Amino acid sequence: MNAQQTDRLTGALGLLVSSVYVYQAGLIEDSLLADAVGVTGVPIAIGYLMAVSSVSLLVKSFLKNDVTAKTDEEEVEPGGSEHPHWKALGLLALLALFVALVPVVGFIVAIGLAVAVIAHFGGARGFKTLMWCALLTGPAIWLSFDYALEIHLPTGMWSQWIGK
Amino acid sequence: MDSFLLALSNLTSGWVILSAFAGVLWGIFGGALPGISPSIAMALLLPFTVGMEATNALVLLASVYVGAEYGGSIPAILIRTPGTNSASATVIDGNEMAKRGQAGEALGISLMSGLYGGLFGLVILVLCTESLAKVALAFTPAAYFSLGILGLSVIAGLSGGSLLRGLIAACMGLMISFIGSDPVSGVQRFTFGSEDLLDGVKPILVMVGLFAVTEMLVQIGEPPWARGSGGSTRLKLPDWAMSKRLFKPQAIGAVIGSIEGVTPGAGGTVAAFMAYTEAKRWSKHPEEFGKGSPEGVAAPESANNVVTATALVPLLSLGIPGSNSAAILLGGFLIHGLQPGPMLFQKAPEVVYGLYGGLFIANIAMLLIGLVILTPCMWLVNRPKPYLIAFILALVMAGVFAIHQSLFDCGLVLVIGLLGYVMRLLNLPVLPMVLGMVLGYMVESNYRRSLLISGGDHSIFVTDTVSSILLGLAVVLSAYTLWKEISDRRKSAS
Repeated sequence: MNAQQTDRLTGALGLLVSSVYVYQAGLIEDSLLADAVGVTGVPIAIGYLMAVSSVSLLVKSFLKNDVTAKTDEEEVEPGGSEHPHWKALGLLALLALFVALVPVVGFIVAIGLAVAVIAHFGGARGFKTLMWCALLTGPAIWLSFDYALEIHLPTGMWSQWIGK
Repeated sequence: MDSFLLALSNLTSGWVILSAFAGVLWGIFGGALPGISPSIAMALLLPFTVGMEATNALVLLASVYVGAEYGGSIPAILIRTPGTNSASATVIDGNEMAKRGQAGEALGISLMSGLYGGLFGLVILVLCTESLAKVALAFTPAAYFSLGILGLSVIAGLSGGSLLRGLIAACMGLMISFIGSDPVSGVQRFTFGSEDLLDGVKPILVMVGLFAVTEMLVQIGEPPWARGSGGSTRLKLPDWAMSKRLFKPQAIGAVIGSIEGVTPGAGGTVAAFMAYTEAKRWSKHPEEFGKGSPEGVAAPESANNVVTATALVPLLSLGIPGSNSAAILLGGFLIHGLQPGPMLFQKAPEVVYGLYGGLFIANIAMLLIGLVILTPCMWLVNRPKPYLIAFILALVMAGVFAIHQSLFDCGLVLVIGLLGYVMRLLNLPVLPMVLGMVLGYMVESNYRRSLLISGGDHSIFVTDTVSSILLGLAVVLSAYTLWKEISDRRKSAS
């Protein structure tokens, strides 16, 4: 995307977010204890400020019609991923899967698995190294938190063996 | 005198010393890793400070900042890759020195200049902060509202050249700050029925998400970091003759770093480049700059280390974070139930003076650790990036879970990380958002309190002397930044 397209997308998204926000603020019921400004007064004002800023950005992008602007979509840094956004979304999905797995398999197993899978996803190869990373990280974090910091991590299905 | 004794007592406290050394060590490692800025290194540690005593926690976080500024210069000098943004100016002459076989000398100059800069900045911090906070003690709710507006007016300076983008980002931060209980009536706002959102979104989660998770999402698609030779370099401290030659550029760096540090939004990177330019202008050997001049290493290193202390002046005295790292430190205050600003000196003086003492120890620790850290640092820089990303994320997830033992927080941090990624794609600056989030409560609650006092009369913000001065300052600051933005644009267009 060039600067002009980025401005337009930012303005449009900003307008959408502010509209939804002002609508949601309007649904909040005022309290009997509320003052002159009310529970929703400031949030609605900020919603309008964001809407005005977004519209200004949109207008500015249309007024400054730079036909010479080039897109940089095709530029890939040497050694980098060809699809960095998909890579980022993939990493996010793995992390979400980790959060979902914790109550079932416990923090120790989930974090060990996450480290190995994320490292592999990032380009690390070598089954043995990945396996050692998984086997060492989980217990290392568990020991540091449960014993050194006395913060108990969820143990999931293993609770009957290593406590809650 | 009492304050001095309080600071002094911390110099002998085992936990403070341990926190300072641990923070500096972590900071040097973090700073040495390209892509891990001081604020990210601090954000990664933030969740682990929850169970700590407040002074130790804040000393730990501030020491990370001190260590990271030195750590950033290690890859800048050795592999021409600045570990932190503010080490970019060090690359110019530091790497040229390394190419000539003087890497050890360059690292020694960087370390000593950082030490002098850090100690000079500490003196400025101690001298300025309390007097500024004393003025702020006379504040009424109207003045606090205007202080919040003054804080928000620096957004223009933090917006990276686009005021509109800064405003949009600040509004997003303010919107997040309104989630949870209303400060006056207690009515729930924007919680969508979720019990986990009743207390609002904690700043610590936003900071960890925006700084650490977003950076990892970006790094996963980027090329591997450059690799160094392995750690055969030995650090060499400057001798007396060299120290005399470096005095002037270090002093230039210290003065520029002090001014830039207390100015919200300026930060270490601007200070380092300005110090480099001025050191060249005042040097007897300007022709050596760019070809491996020791003065070209000393000036920026002194400047960016002064900023580690002076950036805390607006935070501690007024509660306004002027940089990413100061914002993370603010998060450290908030999770210990402390609100930086004028009342901090009344409510928790031991924490403030403890922080001063801790910063002094951190600078000494930087010297001691800096002498021995080079080889393990280079080992770490040479680890494959996918493993580092995986371990950092494991640390983030474990740390975030530890704050409230809540998996909801882990999910929320991922959502905020995604938001930060989208913001980066859209060139939306992060710091105005953080500023909006941390100042949102102050602005709204004091605005409404003032109107309750005045019976709904808005003139209270003008009739209150301190409030009117602060509002006037906010107007002047906004107008100046706007004028500067327009004139910069005209210059670049012509």
